[in-house]
Amino acid sequence: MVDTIRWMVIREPEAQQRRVSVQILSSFLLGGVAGGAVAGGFLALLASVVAAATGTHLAAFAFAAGLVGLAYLGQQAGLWRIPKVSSPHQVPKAWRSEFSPRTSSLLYSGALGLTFFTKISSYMLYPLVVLLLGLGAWPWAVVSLFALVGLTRAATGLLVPIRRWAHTSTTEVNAQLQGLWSVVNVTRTICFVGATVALLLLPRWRA
Amino acid sequence: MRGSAKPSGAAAVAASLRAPAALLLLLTLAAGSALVLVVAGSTPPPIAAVGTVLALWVGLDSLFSP
Repeated sequence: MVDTIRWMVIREPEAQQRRVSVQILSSFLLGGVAGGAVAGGFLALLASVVAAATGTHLAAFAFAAGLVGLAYLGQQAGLWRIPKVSSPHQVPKAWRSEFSPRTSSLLYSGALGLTFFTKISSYMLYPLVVLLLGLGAWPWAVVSLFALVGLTRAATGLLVPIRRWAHTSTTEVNAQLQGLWSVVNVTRTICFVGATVALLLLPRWRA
Repeated sequence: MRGSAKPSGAAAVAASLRAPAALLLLLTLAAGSALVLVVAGSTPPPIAAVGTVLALWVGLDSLFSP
């Protein structure tokens, strides 16, 4: 994703890079929210059908989400292997050059926001989806949470101008990301364990 | 090769992008906060909290995807 933003910025003539970059980044954010909201809309629809058929069983879905989180925590720790349901494809790179910068940015980010149609690196998606399937009575919450996923995915592109990565080599960018890796990994694991425990204990809390 | 080794025009462009990027970051934080408020206002607090944490990490993790 960072590479995509960099590529779209530096392909423009230098005199136009500032103007085009702002357009690209704005479209990227908008596309991320829109794609996420569409994915959330589909999930909300599915959750509404489930709620209409079985009633609202929030505690049960929260517990199931906790079990799924536990399963993927085990996968992350190397204890066992379970299928990682995800599209094997990234957003096609050809999209970047077939349209104007603003349009290609919007489409690219929109596809990222759709989430399920791109390669997913986060195990936390699976407990989140199970949890959201139990929120049929709160469809706007489902749409908002997935719009947040899309917005956050897109917002990582803002690191390109903030960290001045547009004209930095890929090797250097990767080295800087690698430097953050251990901190990110520890924080992620703490959040994942915390969220999983919270989901597993939620039925007890509600009782 | 570091950005500073590039011609000054590229460095100037990179520097000029920080102000609009900061503005976009503020807008992003505002939009994200609004989405979190919608979730917090409509679902039980623990669900909103856990859902928000998971959603943020699913988004952030894409930064480290290949």
